[in-house]
Amino acid sequence: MRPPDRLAAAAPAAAGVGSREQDDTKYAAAVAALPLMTPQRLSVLLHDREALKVWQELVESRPCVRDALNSMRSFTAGHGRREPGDPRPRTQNAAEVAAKWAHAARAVDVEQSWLTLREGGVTVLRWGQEGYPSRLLSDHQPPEVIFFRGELSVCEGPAAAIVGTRRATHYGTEVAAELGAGLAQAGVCVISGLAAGIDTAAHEGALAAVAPGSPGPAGIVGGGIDVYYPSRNRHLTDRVASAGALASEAPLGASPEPWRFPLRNRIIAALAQVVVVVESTRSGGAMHTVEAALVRGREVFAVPGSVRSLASEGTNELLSAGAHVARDTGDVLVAIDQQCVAEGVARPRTGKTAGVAPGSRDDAAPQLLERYVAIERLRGCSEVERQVYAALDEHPRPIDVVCQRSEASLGAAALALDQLMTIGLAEPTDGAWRRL
Amino acid sequence: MLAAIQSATLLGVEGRRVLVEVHVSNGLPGFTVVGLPDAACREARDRVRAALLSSGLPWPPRRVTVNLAPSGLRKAGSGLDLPIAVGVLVAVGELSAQEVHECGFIGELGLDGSVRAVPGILPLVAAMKTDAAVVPATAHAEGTLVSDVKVRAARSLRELVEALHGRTPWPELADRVGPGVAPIETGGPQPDLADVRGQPFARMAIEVAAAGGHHILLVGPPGAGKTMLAERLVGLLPPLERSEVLQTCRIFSAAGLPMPEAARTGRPPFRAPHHAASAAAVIGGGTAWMRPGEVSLATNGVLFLDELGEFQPSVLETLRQPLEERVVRVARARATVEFPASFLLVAAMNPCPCGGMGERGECNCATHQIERYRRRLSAPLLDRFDLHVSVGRPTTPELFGGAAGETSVVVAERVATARALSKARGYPTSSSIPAHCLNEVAPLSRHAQRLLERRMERGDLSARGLSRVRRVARTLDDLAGRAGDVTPEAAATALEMRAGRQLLDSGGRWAA
Repeated sequence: MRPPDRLAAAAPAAAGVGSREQDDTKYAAAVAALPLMTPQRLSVLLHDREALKVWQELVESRPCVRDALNSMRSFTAGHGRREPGDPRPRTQNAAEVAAKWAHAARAVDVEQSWLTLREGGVTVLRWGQEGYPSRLLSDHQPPEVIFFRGELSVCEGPAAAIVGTRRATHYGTEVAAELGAGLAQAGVCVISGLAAGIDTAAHEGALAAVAPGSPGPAGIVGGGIDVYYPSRNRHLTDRVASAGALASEAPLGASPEPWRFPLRNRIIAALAQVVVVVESTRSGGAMHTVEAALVRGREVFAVPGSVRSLASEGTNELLSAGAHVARDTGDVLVAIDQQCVAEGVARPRTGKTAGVAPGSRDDAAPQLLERYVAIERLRGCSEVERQVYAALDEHPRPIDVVCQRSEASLGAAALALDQLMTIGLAEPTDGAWRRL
Repeated sequence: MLAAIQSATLLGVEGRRVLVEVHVSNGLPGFTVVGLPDAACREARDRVRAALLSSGLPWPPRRVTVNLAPSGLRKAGSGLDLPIAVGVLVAVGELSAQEVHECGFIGELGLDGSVRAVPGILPLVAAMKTDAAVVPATAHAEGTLVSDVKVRAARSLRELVEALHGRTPWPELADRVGPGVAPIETGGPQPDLADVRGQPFARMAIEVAAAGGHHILLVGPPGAGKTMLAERLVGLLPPLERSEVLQTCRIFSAAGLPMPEAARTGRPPFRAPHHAASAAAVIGGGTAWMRPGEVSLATNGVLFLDELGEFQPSVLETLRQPLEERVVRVARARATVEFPASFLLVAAMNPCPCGGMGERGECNCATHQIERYRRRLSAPLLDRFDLHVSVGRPTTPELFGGAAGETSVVVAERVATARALSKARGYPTSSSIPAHCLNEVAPLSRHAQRLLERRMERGDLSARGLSRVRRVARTLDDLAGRAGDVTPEAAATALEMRAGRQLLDSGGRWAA
């Protein structure tokens, strides 16, 4: 049954100790890239074992493979969903899966796949190897193999996850970007999932603010790290990879199937010291991250939102259930600072006193002053302009709403809004106006 | 033994003169039609023969050859049945050449000798350039729209022969109504702008669109009143002039549709094709018969595309040329036809497939669904709308207690005044001012220029958008009766009337 020639070709060439570890990684990567492989299956197969041996077992479809599969337990069981992490759990028995693996493995040229990985600038780390993130090392459901680009060491120091809904409101994306920027400025690694909405905003904010020498953001994606999802985040993903790290436990080319995301969320929760939920619906994916964070004893922060906003339903509920309030960077930094002291790692730059960071309330004074100056300028404005200013609030409002509230005519309101924009009291946003 | 009869065939919305030559000679009995007839035209042989025989008219038991000159022009349809039959009658001596001199014939024949209507009577009669024209009685009203031709009606071949001999008078169809005569389409009572509650901004935008001829895109959730607004736009336009009425009627005639209401009242046409429409239905075309599409039928009037996002993207892209050049050129292997397509485009769409996106963020669509929905509209197409207006749902008090707004009559007066101002400057509407003439026709006041500069620096306005904003600002000033340089109010309002574009581009929602 086994083709000896192919196995011989795949056998590692005798070399030094350094390459022995490399060979192990090579085969671990090959095992991870097999079809129907899931993080759980990878874990039962590979944990604390030599990858070359495992590979041979797979190729020969030995009974121990089936035994391992039968002993498997889901990482995310009990979440109420169809057992995630296993694409077709009930229709495949262990023997079938083992047979498919054997078939697929015989067609794989391990050396060639390894070369492809290296050429793509992808680094692969096995659990326990040097460079493997220490917070994952101690996790109870660690990814057996990590594929990444960039510097994974960014997640060793102070790190915070910023997560939330993909369908974020304007308020949500803005707060996420502010938090991302504030934390990055304080030297905290911002971890998120590179999804649309909150994740994108957090990464953008962090990238814009990260200082040289500070850890860049880390993006943990559900699919392979060469798969851009959503595709319009291609550029952002590449920027995150070059400024910080882009990592996934899924092999290259793995498509972002829905079952991968709850598993991805556990890595985000494990890597971060605190998890900040900016906006989430009651049943959003961010709630998986919260659950994973609570299991791991990570502090959970939620950004309060409007009680009328569907996108803030989940976060408001978290707050009422006892989550910490994240009003600004300072709120989050206090917890990170404490955690860093406890872990004995370098603390974030927190300004004069612990817990207060640049961009937080202490820094609000100049902003207030600016606002005061602006309002002073409003004194010199016409009656209509003042009325129009009174009709605005922090949410963008279309001009007919502004007209209605201020009882100004269309032309007068349009002109007043332009004037308010010029003196820095209003801003056109997405085709509507809001107060600054 | 030889006869030549004037007729015409349809190419696009124009008629082309055709001379039907009939030759009857000795030889084996037979009937041949030459000169590029299409299938329907070639079948004339059987219809003509049966019609003559059942009308009790002679059929020559000899060799009959029909040539349709010019023979290089493709002849489509059955309108040449009647001239062929008349030609045969002249060739056998049943009618004298004198009796059909300077008279054109158009009509399809039934096997019983009745004369039936064909599409395009109006352009065909106009093209023949004869003193008199004989058309099917059912299309008589259509034919009489051509002013300098004596148009006569024929109900049957027998009756026609008698009338040509002068034995019976031509049928009198002066009232142009009654059985067998297609009446001019009558629209019901027209919807009035006063029915729209609330929506002051959208009402204003509709008024601007009517006054300046600016294409408008209304974006808003279902139930916001987008369709209602669009339907009322046509009531704000001034009545058509005589030449425009004729053009519109000619297009309707060529499409085989009943005469539009414009023929009687000068009301501009309103066309609202369903979003499942094919490209050929929208821009025109076909194989044998090149039929004008909806863009041509809407010429001089309004083309309303409801649910713009649901149209086939390929169909929408075909609109770009007519929007720019005001004509559609449809090219087929055999001929290229130019249809007029000068219309005011009004489009309505939801901000997302479920339509719930808006002030409360009730949208249930997945992000990729929204993106796919918006990708259907290309930037070049969106660029052609001068006005991008987001329409919100009216509030309950507005629906129940709100005072009725201005009526269409009041607004139409302002529109007419604004259009007159534009005409005095030498352009039918401000939307037709070429970009290089803007400085001369719509100069900016200093304040307005500074305002636009600021917004361009902020990135709210592109160079292409600038000239569109300036045209809209010109219209706004015309409507308000403000002469001279473009005022800052108008410039600021014109910018607001494009703001919906940003909403579509950003995919953003306004508020939580």
